[in-house]
Amino acid sequence: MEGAFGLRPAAHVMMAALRTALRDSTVLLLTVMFLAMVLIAAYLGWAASNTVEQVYAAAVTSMKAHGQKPVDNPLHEMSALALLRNMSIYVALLGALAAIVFGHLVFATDRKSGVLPLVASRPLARTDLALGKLGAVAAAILFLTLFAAAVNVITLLILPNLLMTPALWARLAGFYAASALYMMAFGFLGLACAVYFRSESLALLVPVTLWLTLTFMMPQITANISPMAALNPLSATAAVPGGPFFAVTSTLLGPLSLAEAYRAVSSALLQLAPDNQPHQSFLGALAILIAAAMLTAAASIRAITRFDASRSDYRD
Amino acid sequence: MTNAAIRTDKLTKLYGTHTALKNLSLEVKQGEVFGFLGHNGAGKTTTIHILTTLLAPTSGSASVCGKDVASDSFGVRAHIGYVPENVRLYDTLSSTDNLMYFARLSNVSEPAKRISETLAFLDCEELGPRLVGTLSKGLRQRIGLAQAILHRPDVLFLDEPTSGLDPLGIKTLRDLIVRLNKQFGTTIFMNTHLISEVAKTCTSIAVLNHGELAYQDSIGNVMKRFGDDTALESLYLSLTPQQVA
Repeated sequence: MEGAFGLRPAAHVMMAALRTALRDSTVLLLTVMFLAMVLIAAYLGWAASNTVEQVYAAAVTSMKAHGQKPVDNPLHEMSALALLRNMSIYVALLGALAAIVFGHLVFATDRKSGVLPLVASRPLARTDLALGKLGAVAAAILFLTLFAAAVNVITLLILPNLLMTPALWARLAGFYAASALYMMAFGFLGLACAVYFRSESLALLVPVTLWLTLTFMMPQITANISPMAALNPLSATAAVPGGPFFAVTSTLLGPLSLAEAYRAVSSALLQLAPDNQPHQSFLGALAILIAAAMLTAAASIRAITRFDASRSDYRD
Repeated sequence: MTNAAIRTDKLTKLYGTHTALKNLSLEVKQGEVFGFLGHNGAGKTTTIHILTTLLAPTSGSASVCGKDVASDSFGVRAHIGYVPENVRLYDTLSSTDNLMYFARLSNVSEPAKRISETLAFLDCEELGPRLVGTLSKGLRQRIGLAQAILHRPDVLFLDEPTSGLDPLGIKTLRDLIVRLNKQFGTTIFMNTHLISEVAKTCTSIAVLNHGELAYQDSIGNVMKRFGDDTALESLYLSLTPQQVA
C-alpha cells in the first residue's frame, strides 16, 4: 500500500525510529566513540606506515653512504590493507555494542514512550512495522560503516608508497560489507530482545551477554583462543588445536562462533591470513555471518508481528 | 454499512482463568456519544482494546463500522481513532513531528495542512513546535486527541479521557468531544467512571460490572427514569447484574 508522499509505511516507521533514536544520548555517545576510534585507527595506520617509511629512508641513506645496495621497501611486501587490522577489532567491540544498543532503542523507545498502542491501532501492517524497525537498524549501521570506509579510503589515498590496486579496493569494500553484516546480526539481536522480553533490563542484558559469549568465550571453547587474543584478527590464522575435545567443539559450536567467523572473513579480506589459507573456510565463515544476520532479522520480524501492543510497557 | 457504528455479540475475553469480559452484547449507533461506565477492573479497557484490534477476543464477535475486528482488523483501523488513558507520545519530538508520523501512518493526504487544521480545531496551534516532553498532562492529552482525529475517523475511542486532568482541563476536553461529535458526526465511545462526565457529554450509556453488561440505555431515558446525575450516580453505585431488570 502506498502511503503519503509515495513512501511505503515501513519507510515512515524507519524515519521516525531514526529520528527518535538519534536523540538518545547513549546512541550518540556510542556513535561518537565508534567514529572516534575509526579516526584513531586511521591515524595509527598512518603513524605505523610513516615510521616504517622514515626508518626505511634512513636505512637507504645509510646503506648508500656505505656503498651498499638498498633493500626493498618493506611496505611494498605487505598488503596495504593490513594497516587496517585495528578496524576489525573496533567493529567487533564498539561496532557490535553500538549495534545492540541501537537495535534495542529502536523498539524500546516505542515501548517506553507508550506509542505502540497508537501505532498498532493504525492501518499499518505489522510486517511494515517490523520492516521499518529493521530498516532503521540497518540504515544506522550502514551510516557507521560508510563513515569508517570513507575515513579509510582517504587514509589509503594520502599515505605514500601504498599501492592500492582495483583488487585491493574490492577487498576493502568486501571487508566493510562483512563488517556491516556482522554488526547487523547484533543490531537485529538487540531489536528482537527489546521486543521479546517484558523486562527492559533483560532485554538489554541478554544480547550483551550473548555478544560477550560469542566474542570472548566461544573462540576459547572451539579453538583454544585466549579471550585476550580473541579480538585480534591474526588469531584467525592459527590452526585449531588437535585432540578430540576441540574436534567436537569446533564442529558442533564452530558455526555459532560469530566473532570467529568475522575474524576469519576480515583476516582473509585484509590479507592478514597466509595466502595458502583454505578458500573453503572464508566462504564458510561468510555463510555464518549471512545466516546470523538473516536469522536475527527473522527473529525480529516474528517477535514484532506477534507483539501484544495492549500490554506494551516494560515491567521495570 | 448498518446503522450501528459498533456492535458486539457475546464478546468474551479470558486472561488465563480470569474472565475480563463475559458475553458482552451491545450496540452503539452512528453519531452517538457513548459513555461506557464501570468500576476499575470492570473490563472497560479490555473492551476498547478488542474494538481497536489491539486484543483478540476469546469468543464472541465485534464489529466497528461493519468491519469485523478479528477477520478485518485492517479495515477497522482505517475507520477508528484511539486515545488511551495516559497519552504518551515521543517526548523528544515536537507535537507537529509526532502528528506528522501518525498522519503518514494513516495515509492522510496533505498531512501538514491537516495537522494545522486539526490543531486549530483543538485551539492549540501554539503547541505545534513544542516538544511533547515539555507539555503538561492536559496539553499532552490534547495532542493525543489530535493524533486520533487527524484522519477524520468515523469512530473515536477514548479511554478515561479526563483521568488526571484539572477541572479546567476536564471542561476543555469535554467541550472538544462534543464539538467533534457535532461538527464531524464522529461516533464517540468513551470509557469513564465519572458519572458527571457522562451526564454532560453522552447521548447513551452502558454500565459494565465485573465484565458483564449491567445496564444500557439512552441518556434521555436514564434522566427520565432517574432524574438527575445524582440519581444516576446512586444507580451506578448500586448496580449489580442481579439487580438490573
